Amino acid sequence: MSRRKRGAAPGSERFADAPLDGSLLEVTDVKTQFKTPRGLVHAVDGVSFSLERGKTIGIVGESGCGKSVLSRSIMGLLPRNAVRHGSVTFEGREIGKSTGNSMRQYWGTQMAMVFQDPMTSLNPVMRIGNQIMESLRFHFDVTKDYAEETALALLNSVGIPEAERRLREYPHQLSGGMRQRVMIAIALACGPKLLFADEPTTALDVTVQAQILDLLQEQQRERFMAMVLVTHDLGVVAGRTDDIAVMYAGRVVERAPTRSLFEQTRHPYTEALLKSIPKLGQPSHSKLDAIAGRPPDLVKPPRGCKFAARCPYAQPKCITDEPELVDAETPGHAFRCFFPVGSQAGAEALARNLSAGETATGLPVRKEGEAVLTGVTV
Amino acid sequence: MLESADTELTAGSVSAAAAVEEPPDEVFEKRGMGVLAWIGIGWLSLVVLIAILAPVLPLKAPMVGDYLHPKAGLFSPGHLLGSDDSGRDVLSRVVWGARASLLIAVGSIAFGTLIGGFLGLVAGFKGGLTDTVLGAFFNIFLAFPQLVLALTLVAVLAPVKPSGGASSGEWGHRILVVILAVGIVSVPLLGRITRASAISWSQREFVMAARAQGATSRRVMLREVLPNVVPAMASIALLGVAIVLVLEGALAVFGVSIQEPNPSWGNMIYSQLSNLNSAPAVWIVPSVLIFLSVLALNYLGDVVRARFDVRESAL
Repeated sequence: MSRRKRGAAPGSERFADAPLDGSLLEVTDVKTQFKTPRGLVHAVDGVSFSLERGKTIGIVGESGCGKSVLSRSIMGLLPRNAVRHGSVTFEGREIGKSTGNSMRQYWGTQMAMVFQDPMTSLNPVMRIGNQIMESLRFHFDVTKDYAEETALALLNSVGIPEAERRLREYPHQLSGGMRQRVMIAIALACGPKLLFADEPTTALDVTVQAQILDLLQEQQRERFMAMVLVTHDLGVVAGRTDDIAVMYAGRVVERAPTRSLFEQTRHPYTEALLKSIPKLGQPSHSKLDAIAGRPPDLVKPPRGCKFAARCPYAQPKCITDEPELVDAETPGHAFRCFFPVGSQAGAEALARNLSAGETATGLPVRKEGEAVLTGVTV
Repeated sequence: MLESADTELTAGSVSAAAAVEEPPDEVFEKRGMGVLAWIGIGWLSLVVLIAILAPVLPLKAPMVGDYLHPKAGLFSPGHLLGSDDSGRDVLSRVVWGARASLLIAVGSIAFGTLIGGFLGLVAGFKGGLTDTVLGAFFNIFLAFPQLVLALTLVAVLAPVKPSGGASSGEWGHRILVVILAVGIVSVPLLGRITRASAISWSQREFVMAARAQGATSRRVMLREVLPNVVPAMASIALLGVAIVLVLEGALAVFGVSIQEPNPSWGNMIYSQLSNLNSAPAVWIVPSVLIFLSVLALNYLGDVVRARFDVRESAL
């Protein structure tokens, strides 16, 4: 017991002096590379954003764009072959260089993570109750009874019926949605100030997705917790986040307050993501707008704009020069494009490509019909 | 505008997710192990029980010869399972020999599982340099033929004394030496199995999740990885006990197992090599015991593995 007391509740004392206003998390020019036999993989390439207490930022992009690696880079949960650069400050403290042992005081009590697949992120041979109590008893000097009461309250608060019985069950006795609720309960157990939700609904049945997202949102509001919501589905983040960062090939290509991003989309990639979502109003059997091609090889990223090869707006300039992140009219809205959607330059670029039948990178574009990204109204 | 976009988009996410199916009901039903497994358990329990109860069972003295009835056949009056060339009762020797054979088999595998399991768990969980060093250690040990290595270790640890091993102190010492020698031989085998299992479990997402909750490496290794590795270890350990039962026989052939006149299943066969034709009962009885016990252990090892696999697939 005395041994546990010494290490007890590092959070409460150590972080008591932290300022209550200002941003909770500052991410500046974070770069994460993986050493592989093929070469250095530039998984995250210069990402910056800040997050205030109680706010939510959505990180959106397709698979392999560095979303998950970014959230793990911030938390310091990277495999051995990863190299991390840049600065991450949490409550004003620099944690960008810390790993392993020094990060452990933040994990669980300051920041926690809900993982993508609840089928694999629970220990199959440990009872649900023990898995929740584990970190409580580990971080705080509490008795077993108290931990069990807390676990019960947590299970109730994440909407698990018959919580008392579930405490004594094993993960395989629960459905996917229930398991994700348990994962959320585990992540919330030690009252983190920052919650990473790494594609929390991707592995779940669609009927459960909305419930889990509502639960996350509700818990976040109740606990005044900041949240980083990582997803490939713009539908998931719409209406649930304060800001959205759209990532492509390890970079933020557009960053804006949620409303501004949907109403004044600037980057062609964001536009393409929005178009690829099926709408309820569409007649059945209508073809979905897919984005042609795949994200670039992150070992040897292309020189110019990373999205040029798949972009219907692409011009010769996009192949040679990489656009900087520039501010839009709305405060807080920035994008990385020479020919942004909704601008004169963008409209002209698209018109030029449409009349030529292909973009500067050789991507075929047609006015109407089957081709990718058609019917773009500017 | 945003509201309408919101509903549209939420509906849109319908296409994105892979549906997670509820596990079928059969998963929750308790599956029987089958009659054969229970027969195996019954047989092994019987062998262990008679070995433990040997001193109180109404048996003849195992090391005292009945010179009036040497080389008695099976079911002879007074010698139910026959007698050897000195007239020693085979039933009694088999029961007392079970003590030595089982002690050696279980003891050496327990030693190998403890040491090998620990080293394998650390190697698989830590990875990197630790894994390289321990893996090299396992591989170097595996490069030696196991029988030769065991023989060498026994010979080095306890040279056979010409006086023989009649005293009980000598018997206990010899058993310890054989356990240690065979145990050392089994360390790399059990270590590698555990390491392989630990590697695959250490890469599971729940291990990362435990780390993200602030658990120390030691805690993650012992609480998250080890319980998942145990079924694989148990399955291999059962097979290991079976292998050592046979290996003890091989050591006896080279005269480095339990020393005459003390019985073990192995040296009962070996000591009667010259009477293979004239007194078959003497070597048939311990051979059958070894055979049945090995069969039972192998089968139980398979049952453990099969049940473990079923649980994995139901995840």
